[in-house]
Amino acid sequence: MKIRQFTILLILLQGILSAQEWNGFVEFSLSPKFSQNKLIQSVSAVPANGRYYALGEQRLQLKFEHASDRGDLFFKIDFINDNVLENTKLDVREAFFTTTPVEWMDLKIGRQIQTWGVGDLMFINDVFPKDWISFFAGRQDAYLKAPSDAIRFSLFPGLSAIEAIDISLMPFAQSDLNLMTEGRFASRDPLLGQLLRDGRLTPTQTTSTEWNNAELAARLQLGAVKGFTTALYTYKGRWNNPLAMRLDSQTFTFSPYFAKLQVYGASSRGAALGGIVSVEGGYYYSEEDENGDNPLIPNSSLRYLALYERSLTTTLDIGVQYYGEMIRNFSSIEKNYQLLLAGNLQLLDSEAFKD
Amino acid sequence: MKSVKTLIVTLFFLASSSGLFAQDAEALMKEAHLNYNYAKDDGKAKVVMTIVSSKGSTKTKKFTMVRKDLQDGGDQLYFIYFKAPSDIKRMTFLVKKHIDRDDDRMLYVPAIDLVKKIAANDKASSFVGSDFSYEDVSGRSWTEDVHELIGEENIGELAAYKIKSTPKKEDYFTYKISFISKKDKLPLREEYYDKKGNLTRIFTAEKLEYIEGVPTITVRKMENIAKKQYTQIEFVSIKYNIGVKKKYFSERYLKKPHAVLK
Repeated sequence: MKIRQFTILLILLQGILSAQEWNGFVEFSLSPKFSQNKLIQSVSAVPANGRYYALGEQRLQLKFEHASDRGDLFFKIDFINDNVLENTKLDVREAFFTTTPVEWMDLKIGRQIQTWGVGDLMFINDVFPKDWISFFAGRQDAYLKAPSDAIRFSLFPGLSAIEAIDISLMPFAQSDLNLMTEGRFASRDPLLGQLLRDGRLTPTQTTSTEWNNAELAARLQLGAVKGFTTALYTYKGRWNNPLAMRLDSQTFTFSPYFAKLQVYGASSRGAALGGIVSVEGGYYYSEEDENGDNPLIPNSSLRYLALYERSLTTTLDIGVQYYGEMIRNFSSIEKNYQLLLAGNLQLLDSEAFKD
Repeated sequence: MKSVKTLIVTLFFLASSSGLFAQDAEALMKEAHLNYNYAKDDGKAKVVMTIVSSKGSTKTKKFTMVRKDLQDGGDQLYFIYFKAPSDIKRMTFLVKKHIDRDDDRMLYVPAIDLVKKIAANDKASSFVGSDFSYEDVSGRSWTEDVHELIGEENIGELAAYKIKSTPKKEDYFTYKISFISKKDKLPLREEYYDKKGNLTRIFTAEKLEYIEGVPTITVRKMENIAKKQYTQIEFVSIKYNIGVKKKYFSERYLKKPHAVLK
């Protein structure tokens, strides 16, 4: 962890010192909460200001750029004074080096924002980290995308059938900044449905620097056919949220963790019906709960979306989006839930409880 | 002999200026369209766009624009690299203009690494938030309207043909009056009218320069009468025939623009 921070700092310094160009902005944000929920006020981890404000901060963003024959360096750093959490922090949003070592390949190394898929603020094959706190607290939309530390290869085979192949290797698995992690929002215990009194859910298993936590995301972009571009995706890593629970049979306590996940999907987008039509689907294969009978691990699911966008007037566009999820082995979830209601834990349809 | 030649030349000028050799309006509009939108094979310019609202407040955008013609009067490629203001810096925009179908428009937002396909069903939609439409920037094909030469007028000091163009199919304007300079065959002024005959938009060529010998309108203004606002586009450091490759107008270079596009 320390090596990682040191390396980033070193690259940062190098970048700042050599930057050919820099610019940025200063931003003041405030979003008050209009209803003071007594329940939320009873949560100890919600900071004093957090009871009245979802957001209250001053942000300075600086961007540095340095282009050379060998490649380009880019840095984007936010300095934040946060009045809700009552702290100041430095957030390196982007710090990468990008180069074209051979004509048919682009390389991007470092902290970067990664996005793919065709949904509008809905993500299926995009399993890159998201910052839900920023999204719900009301920061700019761009902050929904959290950066990931990655080595990204983009290959351009020069064939009409294949437009590009992107392979992103993330050595340190990264998770979403979900609403449970900061204490800015009160959240519920996913298992008991009660408000978490300390306001936070701390996953036992960190997804940091262990090599077996490395994640891989890949996309194959096919050449356009009749104006429609189609892509195939795959991902192998972990769920971005600690949706799975591990049971300590000694103390009979549950602790959340990031279960293993594989995603296989496809998308297509093109001009049709007087606008832009996009479709995307993906199969979320929950490796650790193959049969879907473990109530402590999310089941596999099929996710899909369809989006239609068109311009209505010269300055107004509209978009309509449909999103769906089909959870596999849903009957097991129902059965487990019934048993849970009946308090009959021993009969739960799962290996996890049969020790 | 010499006096005869002079006489013929004099007669020719007299004849042309009095409209005796009335130009075929359609051929004229075609020539103006090609001169205005398809100069040489490609072009690059730094653009300063100023949007002035009815209250007088101004918004300025700066970008580099590169154009490549695939065929004169036919399909074209446009690449835009934004430079200012800070929040849109490094954004890129690709337009593939098609004659026989809707254009392809793609926007890349580097802050979220997002490639967004933009609906292109409406060619009258605002070009990067300005009073210019996409069609104003990439040009309206002369084949879409019926043209009629209705007179001659001077725009400033330049003699111009006055042409009325009526769309063949119902469109966002009912008719348009264009003033095409006699010398360079370029549009100096265009007035757009609606069904009721109200003037809705006025285009004016504010400055004409000869760049590498090519007559070029370097300052263009579009006024929206109803909104009482206007946009001025200024082209600087214009270069023609830079030899930009077709492959640069793709998603790869949208995300990582080649130096020639910046």
